[in-house]
Amino acid sequence: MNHVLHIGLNHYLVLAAILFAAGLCTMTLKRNAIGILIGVELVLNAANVNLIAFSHYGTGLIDGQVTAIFVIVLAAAEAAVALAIFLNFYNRLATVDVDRGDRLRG
Amino acid sequence: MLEAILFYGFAAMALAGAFGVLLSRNIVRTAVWLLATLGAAAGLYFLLGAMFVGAIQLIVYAGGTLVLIIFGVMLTSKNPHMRFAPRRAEVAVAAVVCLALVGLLVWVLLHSTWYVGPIVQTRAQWAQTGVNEHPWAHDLQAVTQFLDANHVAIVDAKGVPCGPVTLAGLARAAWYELTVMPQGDQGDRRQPLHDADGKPMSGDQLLAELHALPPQDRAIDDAALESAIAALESPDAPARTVQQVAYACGDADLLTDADGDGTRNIGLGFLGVYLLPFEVISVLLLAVLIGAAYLARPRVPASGGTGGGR
Repeated sequence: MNHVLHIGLNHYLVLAAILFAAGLCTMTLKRNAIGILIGVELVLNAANVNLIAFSHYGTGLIDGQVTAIFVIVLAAAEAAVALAIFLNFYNRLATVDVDRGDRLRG
Repeated sequence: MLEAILFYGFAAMALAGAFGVLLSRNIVRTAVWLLATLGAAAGLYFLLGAMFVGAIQLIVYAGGTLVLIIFGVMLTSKNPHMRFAPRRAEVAVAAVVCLALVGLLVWVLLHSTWYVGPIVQTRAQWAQTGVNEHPWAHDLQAVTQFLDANHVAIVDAKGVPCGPVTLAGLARAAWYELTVMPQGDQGDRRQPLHDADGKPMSGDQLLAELHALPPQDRAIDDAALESAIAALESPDAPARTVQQVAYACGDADLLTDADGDGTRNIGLGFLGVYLLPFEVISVLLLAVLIGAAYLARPRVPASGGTGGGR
């Protein structure tokens, strides 16, 4: 009971593990390119929850928070580039179904 | 109790959003489920005391990235309700792999020993946590007993008592072989040790008291502690930033500033210890800007005709 009511590091780590796996599953299952991008965002968020939780419960310093801010910036940059690529994909193939993007197959 | 309620509320919201993302077949609904997860994650950050990161999460992620994704949905789909159903075998394989991954991750992290440090600021709060099994806990206990027995107070430059965390942080610095340095020009953050009479306490005095403790109560190396104190006492020690002093001495006041969140320290960190990563990120953003503009430019016909853009 104490472990349930007394929130500790492990609670956040388990939550982040489940979020990570859900994001990974989303990445593998979606055939819509935007859906895959959303899965990546979920995975990055799971990592961020870990970073902040370790920052709070581990050292008590701000390393984790700063790293989390960098991750957020990287996620935004990655989303911008990915969307530009998907727009090109859509312009060429008139769909965002990634299974159709097999032009390089030998 | 309130923390537990809030944690489970935000966790349920995050998981509901994640499984909504996973199970929804409509891309617009998927994006809205992602919004729930991002908001709940921001709530968790607030709960963990990371106010600035929580605010950034809401502004950049929920306000910026998600809108970008919605734009992507708008621009890449004539029919936003279009569905792409995965094959049944794919679903089975993905489910097995992801469940195995969750099982493995949870098993590993529940069977690991993470260091959980002294995050508390007052002695009463520390007593409530009951953190005793880690070596640092011995330092905290020993230092607290030492403070109680000798009526020693540690005061900062303004004479405000720092509490036991600073001295424990000194022990922590010794434990990690960091050195505690006095602060240079920008505001005197150096914290001399004072005894009850207000006289500055020498490192030798402090060391003698700590040496007098039984060895099982001291989880730190004598030599490391000695060098840390020598560095603290040395008048010509090189100047360090507030961040590094906070790093080394683990002072709660320096780490969390008066308002109780680390926003000020994040600002100091970006222009101090984390300056290089900060600059690298800015260069990366520039590269992303140019790259995205290049990718999204109107296509020029390869034959070099006069068609121009589309």
